[in-house]
Amino acid sequence: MRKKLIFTGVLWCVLLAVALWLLNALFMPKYMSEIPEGALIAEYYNETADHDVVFIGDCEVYENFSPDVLWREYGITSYIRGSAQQLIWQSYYLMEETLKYETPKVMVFNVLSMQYGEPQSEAYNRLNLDGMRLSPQKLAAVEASMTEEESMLSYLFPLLRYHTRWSELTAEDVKYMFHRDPVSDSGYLMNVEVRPAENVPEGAPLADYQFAEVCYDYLDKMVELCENHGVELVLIKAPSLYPYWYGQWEEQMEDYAAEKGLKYINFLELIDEAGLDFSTDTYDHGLHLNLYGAEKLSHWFGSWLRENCPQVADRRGEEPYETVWNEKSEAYAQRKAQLEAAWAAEQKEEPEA
Amino acid sequence: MKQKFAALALALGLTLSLAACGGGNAPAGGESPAPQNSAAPQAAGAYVFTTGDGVTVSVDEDMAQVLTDLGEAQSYFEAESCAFEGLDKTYTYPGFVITTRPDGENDYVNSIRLTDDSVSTVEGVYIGSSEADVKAAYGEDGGADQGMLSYTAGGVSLNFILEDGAVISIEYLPA
Repeated sequence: MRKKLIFTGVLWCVLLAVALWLLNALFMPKYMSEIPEGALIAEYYNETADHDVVFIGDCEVYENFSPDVLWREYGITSYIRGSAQQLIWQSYYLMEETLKYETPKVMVFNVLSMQYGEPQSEAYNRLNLDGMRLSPQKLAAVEASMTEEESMLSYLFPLLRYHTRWSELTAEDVKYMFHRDPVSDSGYLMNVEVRPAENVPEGAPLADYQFAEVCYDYLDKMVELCENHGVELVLIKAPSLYPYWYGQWEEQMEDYAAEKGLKYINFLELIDEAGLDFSTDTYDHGLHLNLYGAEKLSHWFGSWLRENCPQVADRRGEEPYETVWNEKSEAYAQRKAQLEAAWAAEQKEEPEA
Repeated sequence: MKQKFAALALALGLTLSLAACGGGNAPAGGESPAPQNSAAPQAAGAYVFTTGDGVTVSVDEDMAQVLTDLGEAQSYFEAESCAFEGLDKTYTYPGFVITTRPDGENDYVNSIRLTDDSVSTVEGVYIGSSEADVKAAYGEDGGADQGMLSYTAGGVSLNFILEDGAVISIEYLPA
């Protein structure tokens, strides 16, 4: 009798756990047809081969660099672990987590997030953290990122956060309960639309241009982490025209890179050299590059990597990279063709002024 | 057997009721995670800006009304926020810049920044005024932030950024 009771109790617990797991899978936002940025972080775990270059940072990395070009033109294997408004502590923990899976030769970090010295918004936190696998790095990233209204528990049991979506559920939530379609190409979120940069405003004067101490702390930790793993850390500022990058910020980054012996590239100073034309190479008036701009920038950066980071090898002809990247290139070309056709159709329907 | 089914139904029912209960904030993914604050009616006594032509503009005002009053801007810039829908818009007029934030179908004034000495605050402070001028107009207690004097009234902050003792930026923002 006692055995039967225990068995029944265990059975009910298992059934309850399964029910909760299913509900969690149903209620989690899927980020497929809307806000694909939310699917970026988790996509990394589907990678089958390691990478020599890993980009870490906010939209200025996942919109501005094309790993496909780095492969096709230079045989460089790369991945972008980028996400929307990724804060520096999130970047640090993603970097630490990445090093659990692989040891690239170079980590590239975009420094725009140095401007944020405190947690910003739950909405962006969710896009950046929900996709991370449960790990000490995820817990630390959540702890560092939470705004006052958030709780750690809701990241461990997302159903606590997302149960209010019950009235918004769609067929997509059922379709993608157990899998996702890839939204990116090695972390690059492709956009082929063209909206020229015009009237980009200058930055408003600030009372204090000094980056927060906490940002320097995490940058120091990145330097140390990379040193400990024999990875070269390269700092960059992507060529996005907006938000404004102040001269005072640039000075601080140049000083920091010089002090730590790091390579630092401010692409805003290389717009002409990289061949970027902001009347054709941006899809949102200068905030992000479109595909054509990202390909130009990647062409320039691949050449720079070849010249300045000799540890980054040309993997063309080497397995498994050759097979993996040929498949990736095929998917990239297919996505490009689809997006270009959609954009052309949209233009035809509603020509922009 | 019936009891077992009833117990299972009860367990699932409890689970579903947890899943369906209201009360939380807007979901942070999928449909509506926009992080922006919503428009609030302008409180009485709030700092407002008056243009040289006598048009009054206030933080949180519907931008459609402002555009009707001020006419077309000298230049216009719009920036999509990363990932989320909605445009942050910047309207540049002679002497000042207005930025907006979206809320539903409408845009609301998020900031008004004075950019040259062709305009001034209602209290008579302009770009180039001295720190003493600001304190004389708004009081000694302008906060402890380095390089900035800040005053709040009616849910609006009026910030003066100073360089070498002179005002280089004046901005109206939601408090």
